Amino acid sequence: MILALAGVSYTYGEREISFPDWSIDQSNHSLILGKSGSGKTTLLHLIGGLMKASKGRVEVEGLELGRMKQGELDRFRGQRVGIVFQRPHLVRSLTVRENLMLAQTLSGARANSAQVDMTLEKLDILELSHRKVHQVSQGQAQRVSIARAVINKPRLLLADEPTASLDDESCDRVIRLLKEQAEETNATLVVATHDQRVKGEFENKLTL
Amino acid sequence: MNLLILSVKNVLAKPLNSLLSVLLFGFGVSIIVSILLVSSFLKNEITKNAQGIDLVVGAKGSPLQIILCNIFHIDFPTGNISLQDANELTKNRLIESAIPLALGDSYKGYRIVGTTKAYPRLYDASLKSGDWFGEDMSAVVGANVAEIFEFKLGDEMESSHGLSEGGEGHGDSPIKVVGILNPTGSVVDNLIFVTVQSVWNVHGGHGDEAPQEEVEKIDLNRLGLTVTPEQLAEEEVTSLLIKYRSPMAAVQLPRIVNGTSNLQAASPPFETARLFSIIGVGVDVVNILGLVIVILSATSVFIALFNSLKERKYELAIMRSMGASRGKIFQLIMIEGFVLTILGSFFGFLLAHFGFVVLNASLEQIQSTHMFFITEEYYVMLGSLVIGIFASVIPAMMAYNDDISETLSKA
Repeated sequence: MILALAGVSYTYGEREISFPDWSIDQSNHSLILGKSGSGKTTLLHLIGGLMKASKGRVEVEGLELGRMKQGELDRFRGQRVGIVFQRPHLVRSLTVRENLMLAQTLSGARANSAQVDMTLEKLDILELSHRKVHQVSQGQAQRVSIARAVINKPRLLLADEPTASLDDESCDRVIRLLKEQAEETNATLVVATHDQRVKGEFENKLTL
Repeated sequence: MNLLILSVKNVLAKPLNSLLSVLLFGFGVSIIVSILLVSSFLKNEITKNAQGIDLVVGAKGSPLQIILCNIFHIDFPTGNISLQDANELTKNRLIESAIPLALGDSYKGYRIVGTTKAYPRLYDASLKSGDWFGEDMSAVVGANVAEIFEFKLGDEMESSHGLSEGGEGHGDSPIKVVGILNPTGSVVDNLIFVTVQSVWNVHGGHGDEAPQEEVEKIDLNRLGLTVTPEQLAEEEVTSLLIKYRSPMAAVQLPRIVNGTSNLQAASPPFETARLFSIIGVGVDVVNILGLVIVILSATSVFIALFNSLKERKYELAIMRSMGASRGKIFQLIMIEGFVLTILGSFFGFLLAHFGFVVLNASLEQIQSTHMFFITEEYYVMLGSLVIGIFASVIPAMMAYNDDISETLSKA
């Protein structure tokens, strides 16, 4: 079991969001489905260690995130989690290649040029390597952000609304790409979305 | 991809904003450093030129003018004192030594000083070539003067009255260069030395008669002069540069001198301190201006960081999601502030020192041209770092405290 939720809730001011218990097995790519405001991004952030649950236990590979100190949680994110956000938000002052190297060093590893090339190659964007971030298209930027999420070979690959503003064809392609990359790096993919089109792609679903 | 490289790239990603911060900071720092350099240079020059002179005695008038005229040679004499009075004064036991100066003439704006060898010796001036002035109408020239007019031994110059160019000429009595001095880095380099008698000859006109009549001469050994009784009775000098025998003299001698009807005593340390307090007001005003510019530029660094922070909020949050700790984000913003302020302060120091070298080269009055670094500048450096810290710390704290989950869910 790679992920287990038990009695988890999170409180925003006076509003408490409770989540059903749920678990994900290794390599069983899963989906969190819910309308906007249902708390799916919140859940994704709890799983990714971006914040701590108010109640209950979030366990990733047997580690309880709620018990971790700030520094441990930083390391946990860097080493075990890769996140693809709705919008890429690459570091604008850097090139595509430097963005990936930054991800490597922030995780605590060393910058590894060969690894960067390999990852870019797999995502078919090696030729963008030396471009500045503003010189690549939206679609290319999303590929770069996927590359950034998988470069450190995370155990969990989280994606927040990756298909929100895409047409059907692109939607399929992105989901395929994420699955491919997750398998390539032996990570377990968890997608949070309101997009009904991707429903059929996953067996393990949590509906909020 | 370490933090320093990332910071530098972030700074370079906004070239115009960064340039503005660097320029502002640089100009502020350069104003402060320039003032430091110039005032320390002036103080240095003044103490160097006034060394070994405890008191200047001249004709009644402004004591500051006496100092400017007789030590720095940048003002006109207050008048003359009679040789007899001067000689009487030197007999005082409080006086260790006295050097007579007879001023009034110049050569193309460079002052001719009638004096004894004791005067150039006061500044440790040594001969580069030729001999000391001994005979009348022979001159030893300072290093700068020799260089500017390309004087060689045996050359003759025609002196003129006053200190400015184009004064009334003394065409009938040319002065012959018999010696050239080594550079001393003091006022001596810009002077032309002759005997006191030469100055008298040029002005009196009756100097021609003197050699023919063999009169008995009087030795004024305290002044280092040998004169005829007629000269002692009639001639004048501009001033005496006096060295005290004991500290007691500092209290008593000025009072004695000022009690003498025609004489005025001027103390170089006192007058230069007065001069500095007059200049000091201006220095303070310019210093405040510099400080205002530095604070303004610190504000611009602050605003630059603050704005870029707003734009980069998501970037920074994503960096944290990738494993960067709060501390790393804090460091990143601090380093960006430091890069701007250090570049700015480096630019400022460069500008000030470069400006100073150019100023030095353009003013022939100033002799030392080597770059120098004064201790106060370390304080300016330290101060600019502190200002850099202040400008960066608030944006850095904001980045530190950012709730990344909240930021990222608003994407």
